[in-house]
Amino acid sequence: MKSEMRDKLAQLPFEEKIRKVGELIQLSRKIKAQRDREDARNYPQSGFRNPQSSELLSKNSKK
Amino acid sequence: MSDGPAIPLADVLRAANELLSAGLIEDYALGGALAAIYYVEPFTTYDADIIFVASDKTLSAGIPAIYSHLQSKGWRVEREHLLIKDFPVQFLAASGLTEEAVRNAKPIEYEGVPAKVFRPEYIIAIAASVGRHKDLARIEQLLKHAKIDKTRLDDILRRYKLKLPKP
Repeated sequence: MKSEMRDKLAQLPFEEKIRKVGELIQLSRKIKAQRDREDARNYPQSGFRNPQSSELLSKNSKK
Repeated sequence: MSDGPAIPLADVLRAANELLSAGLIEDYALGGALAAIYYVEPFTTYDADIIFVASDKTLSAGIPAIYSHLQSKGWRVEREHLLIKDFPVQFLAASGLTEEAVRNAKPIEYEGVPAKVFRPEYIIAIAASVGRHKDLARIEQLLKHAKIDKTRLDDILRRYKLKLPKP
């Protein structure tokens, strides 16, 4: 992200920033759910979850 | 978490104020990633950190009473987090540098709820003391995009014998 854009975002009211963080969380959950669905479709019997999608996202979702 | 805001921060701060009124804590401030976001651009984080100065000076820091108060208000416990509307919150007892950060935190109002947030100089010093990769990134972000009181920062770093990472 360009520095000017980051500065602009940094100037937003706190409430607005928190709303944006909420949107980021929801987006990341949506992507994770979508990838889990795709893995389940691609590997129906094995219960396999592509580590690139499931585990890593889940790890990243923790501090 | 489909209803209401994804981050119910106003509810979190209201609950912290209740703990204060009930005398279960002496003081508190918002710390961690959400405090950093107060000063820099928004980024993804999955919990809120409330750093409190305990009223109960015993080893437990009054945490059992805090948990039972919040559980009586409908909060759930999941591992090290308390959950409000499915959003994880950590209540962490302050000491040393973090206690000083709470005492000197900046008063704010969030959706009409009075609260306090760590000042950027303390966020930087705490990040320097922890030193994980994400803490170093946070320091860089704050130094670039937040207004830093250099004298205050240098004073904190000197007193706690901390050093900033080399750029």
